[in-house]
Amino acid sequence: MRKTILLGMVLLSISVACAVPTTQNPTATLHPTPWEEAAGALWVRILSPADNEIVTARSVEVQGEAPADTVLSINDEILVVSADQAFSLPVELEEGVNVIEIVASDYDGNEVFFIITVTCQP
Amino acid sequence: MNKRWMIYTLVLLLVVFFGASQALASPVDVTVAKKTPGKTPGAQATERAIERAADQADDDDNEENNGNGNSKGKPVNIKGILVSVDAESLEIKLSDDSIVTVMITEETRIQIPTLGKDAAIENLVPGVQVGVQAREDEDGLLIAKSITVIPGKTTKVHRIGIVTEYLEGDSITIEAKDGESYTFAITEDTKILPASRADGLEEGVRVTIIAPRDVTGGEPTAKGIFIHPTKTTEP
Repeated sequence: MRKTILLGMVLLSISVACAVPTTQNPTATLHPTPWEEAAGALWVRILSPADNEIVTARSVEVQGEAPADTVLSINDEILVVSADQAFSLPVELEEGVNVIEIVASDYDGNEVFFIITVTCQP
Repeated sequence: MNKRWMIYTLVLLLVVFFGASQALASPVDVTVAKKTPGKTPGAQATERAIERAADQADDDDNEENNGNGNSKGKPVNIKGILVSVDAESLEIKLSDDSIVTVMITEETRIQIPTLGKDAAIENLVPGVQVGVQAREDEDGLLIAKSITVIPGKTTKVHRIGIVTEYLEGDSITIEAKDGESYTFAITEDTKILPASRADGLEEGVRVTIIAPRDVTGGEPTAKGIFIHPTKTTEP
């Protein structure tokens, strides 16, 4: 009887060990959205678009959050984050792979950047 | 009898539990294999394209033609490291270390952030990351429609510092946090922000200057100058 219980426990352990892989996340991406970077007191969170996103529209809205007064350059545009800590800027796309460069900095000289690729496939 | 019944029950329970755990684990393992985090959508699309190309080679009759024998093919997006390039083709290493060959034509657009639309095939250097939009031709070859270099770092930088010299419409020099002095040319296209503080741009104020990262010859041109509020008077 004791041997049977012992054998059962061993088999049970093996079963549990085999079931562990189910906890893995199969949908992880290189840069999941929101994508957040930080340096010192500066933090920037990109809500959209996602890196490697494929869109059919000719423009995409870059949306994110950062502390008020953060200076942002998104490709050739410059903007300053308002008091509500949200920013948004439409970016024109060309057909094919587009690179969106986002650089952010604060009063103290902290700086973070993002390079996002978006494919326009009308 | 009682002892034998307990053994049968225990064995039966273990078999059921083991079988259930395997059944639950297996489908997810398959999904993980198909959606490896390292594989980009481009890599997956390329693999599908290669599979389709192989299918086409085996059975050309199944090819969808547009009426004149030329197949437009579906767009294929590829992202990877440029391994080699010549006038006719380029090889790209995908995240799973496989190599994909894409043909170049006269219509292929080359885009390099630092060069804008003046980029040419000669400017493509092995080792850089590229994004390629391609399509399959009737022979299953991938034809590049556009090739975009994805920079490892941004082409612009922000320089934050105190203005040590300002010549309106000409140049601005700042002393940055690293103790170095940086001088930038000012042109008509230089944006000074916010407009309400533009008159206050003078020596001693703190600014952020947005400028190109790499400049060969001459001083960089300021794309934008942001004048920070004085912390003692404005929060």
